[in-house]
Amino acid sequence: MPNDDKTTKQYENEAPKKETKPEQVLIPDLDINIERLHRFLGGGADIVCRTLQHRSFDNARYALLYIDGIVDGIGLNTMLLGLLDDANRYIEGGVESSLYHHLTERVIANGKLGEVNSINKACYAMLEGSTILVVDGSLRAIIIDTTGGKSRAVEEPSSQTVVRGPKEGFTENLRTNTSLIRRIIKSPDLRFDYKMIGHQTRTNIAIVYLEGIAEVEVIKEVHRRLDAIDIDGVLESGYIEEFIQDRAFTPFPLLQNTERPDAACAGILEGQVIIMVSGTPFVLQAPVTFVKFFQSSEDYYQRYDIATFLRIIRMTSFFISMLLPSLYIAITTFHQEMLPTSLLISLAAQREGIPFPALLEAFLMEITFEILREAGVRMPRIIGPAISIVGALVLGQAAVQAGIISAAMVIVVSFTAIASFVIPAVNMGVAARLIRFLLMILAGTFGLFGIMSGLMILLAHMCGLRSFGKPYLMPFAPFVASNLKDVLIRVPWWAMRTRPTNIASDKNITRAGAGQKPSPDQEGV
Amino acid sequence: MKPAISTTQTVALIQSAIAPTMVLAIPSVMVSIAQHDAWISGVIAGIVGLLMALIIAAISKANKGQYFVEWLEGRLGKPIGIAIGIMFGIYYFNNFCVIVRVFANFVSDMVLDETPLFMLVGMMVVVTVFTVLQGIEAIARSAFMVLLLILIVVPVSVFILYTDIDFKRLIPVFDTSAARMAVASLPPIALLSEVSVLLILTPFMKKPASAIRAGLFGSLLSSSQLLLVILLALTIFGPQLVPMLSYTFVNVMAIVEVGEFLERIEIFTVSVWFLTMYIKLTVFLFAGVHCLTHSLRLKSKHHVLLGLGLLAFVTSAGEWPRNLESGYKNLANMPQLLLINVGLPILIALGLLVTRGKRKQGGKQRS
Repeated sequence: MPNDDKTTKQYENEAPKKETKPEQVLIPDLDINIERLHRFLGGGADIVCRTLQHRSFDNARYALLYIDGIVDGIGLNTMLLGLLDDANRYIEGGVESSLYHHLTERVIANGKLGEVNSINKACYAMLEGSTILVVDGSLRAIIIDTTGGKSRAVEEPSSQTVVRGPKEGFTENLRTNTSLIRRIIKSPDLRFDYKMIGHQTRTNIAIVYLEGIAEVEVIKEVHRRLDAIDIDGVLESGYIEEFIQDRAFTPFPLLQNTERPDAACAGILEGQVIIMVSGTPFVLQAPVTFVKFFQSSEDYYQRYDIATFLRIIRMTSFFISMLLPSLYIAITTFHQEMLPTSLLISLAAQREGIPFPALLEAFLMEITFEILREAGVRMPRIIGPAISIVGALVLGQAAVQAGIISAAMVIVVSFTAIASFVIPAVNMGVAARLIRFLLMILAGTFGLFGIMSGLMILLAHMCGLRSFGKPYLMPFAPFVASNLKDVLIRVPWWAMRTRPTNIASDKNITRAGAGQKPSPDQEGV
Repeated sequence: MKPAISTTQTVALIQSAIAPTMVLAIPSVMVSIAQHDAWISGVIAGIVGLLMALIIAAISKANKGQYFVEWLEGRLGKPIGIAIGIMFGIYYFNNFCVIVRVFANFVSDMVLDETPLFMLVGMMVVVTVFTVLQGIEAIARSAFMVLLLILIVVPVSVFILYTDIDFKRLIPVFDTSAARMAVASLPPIALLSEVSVLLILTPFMKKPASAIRAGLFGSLLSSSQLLLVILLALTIFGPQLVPMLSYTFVNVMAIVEVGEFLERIEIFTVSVWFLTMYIKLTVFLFAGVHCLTHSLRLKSKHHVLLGLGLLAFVTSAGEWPRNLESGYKNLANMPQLLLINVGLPILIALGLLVTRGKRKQGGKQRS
């Protein structure tokens, strides 16, 4: 999509959509301008104003204003040094027509300068980390990009670790994140469209895609949905996700998120559009299909055979995580004939003396596990082992010995819990957790018939889901045979010649050349 | 934008609309009439089914993308179009209620004998209404997914039953009289006539021109499943035992034992069958809602759907006695099936032939 399109214009340093304060223009009086700028920002000790006088322009005054802590201190001081040096120097051989022109064209050593004529815009630029230079007698102010301040360094992602593969992760800084993408995809077709969302937080959003590979309709739709957001603040990409997903009420995630630049780039190369939000390392990827949530970036770094095996394990784990407790309830309550006699006797012996029906027993254990898991996330790390002991020994072994729950149920719940951690996408694991409870109720009420009824509801629901217009269950429903090469199995790279159809633009579907299958050297045979 | 379903999805919808009830109770009836030659009756029924599919698809091809009732109104006049639409609507709704009740009775007989019937009926209606609410595209995709599942389950089932199969039970071939074989083929023919649902589905197809292919393959898949169940039942149990079995395909799977750890796995086969049955119910309810909404000029399909769902729940739960037979008499009400699925389409075809000249004249005048 061309960059001159209205939807792709740069939004940086613009006033928010809902401007509540009246527009104030700059006037030629420096002191009044400084006072207005201070008042607009509500004062505060972090607003720094440094006033200077220039010898060559009849001691004309000018001022630098910035917000301490969000500017690049070293760069600012270097620039200030240059300004001071220039201010005390008598310029021989004539001067520029005005101090304003002299400063912008000869003195300020910064690659990104802007110009504003209103107090409001100048203040919004300061809030972004820019420094404002106001010259006495001028109706305009110079915006100098000095964005900086303390931010987290690039570290290994905590939520998506890999054994083999890049160890870099996104940070909370949008510019760092865009540079991480730029370093991987060095294509002139890589596009970054910027937006600002949130009346109060004025959060910068970057939409990243490869022109010619991402589908134009999807890019337009991403822009349209983002433009429609009207909210006071965006603190994380989760805010955006709930506004732009195709269906409001569904347990399934309709956008993928990642904190790995390599995973984001893989998505871009497949035709996905990436939405980066300032202040969070998690970027959103769209459009997405159900099977994408079972793919890990490591699948593409390891050999295809083990990658395929692991994918099947992940898929199986998803179904175990969703179905195992309900199957146990259904079989022990309604369909005991399915079990081999010896196992049935063993289970019956264990359940003898248990005061609760299987459904209640399973609910007790599942809720206990959910509480333990939540406690594990929230509690201080130092007391983690203590909680593990309490969870494993007290609630597990002791509950069995006390005859409250059966040992088989502990095994079922533990296996379910472990299986749920195998799913690479946390949000898909959450979906399985929620659906598990619904299926348990159905299994306890209607047995296997109830489970199948629940699965039918899920199937119909998932078949109706879309992510930015793309069917969620693709390539199964609708069936796209060419896309099956990277679903349950991951074919070798030399066989993966095309991007997934229906995600990438139809015009640019080929990603690798033909005839690259390794074969023995003829001479060496 | 009008939803669009692919030809393969249409095949899945058609087979789902026919096969689930056909494999349930029909094989034992056929074997009781044609004995060990029942499979020949199955072949005959399959051939007749293909002919019916061909006729229905040929009629469907005349529709260039309009909704069924709108198309009939345009070609045969408003009163006739509305009347046919209402007849189809009532037929699909009525059949939906019958199938729900038979399905509930089956579940009650097989696994949940103590669960109140209204709970089972309620569950089925809720699931079906929810599925129809997702729209025809979602229904078609679900049908395709279920078809994929069948294509996995069937070969596995045949493989694990292989040791119990004895082909000697099929001989002597052509031992039964032709008349008996013909009579035995009537119940499946009646059910295969349900391919007429293609008339309603064609306008939703991406390529309406491939309606013939969809009809033929849908019918072929359905009759193949019937044939497979008959063959398995005959070669495993023999012609004397099969007529005594209420639900042939379930009994066939019930004998499976793999080693000493896997037994009575028919519940898994039945579980997959549950899904196909749900798709059938969904197709019928969708067709009923579609025909009635368009015929009665109702604005909100969702309200019609919820209303019909409620009515279906009351009807299915309370209309018939508790011990209603799940047998073929209820599933294959031949006069009704043949009248609506064969008689009406033939009348429509005649109407189209009569009005063909008029349409051409009208077209010329307009141009």
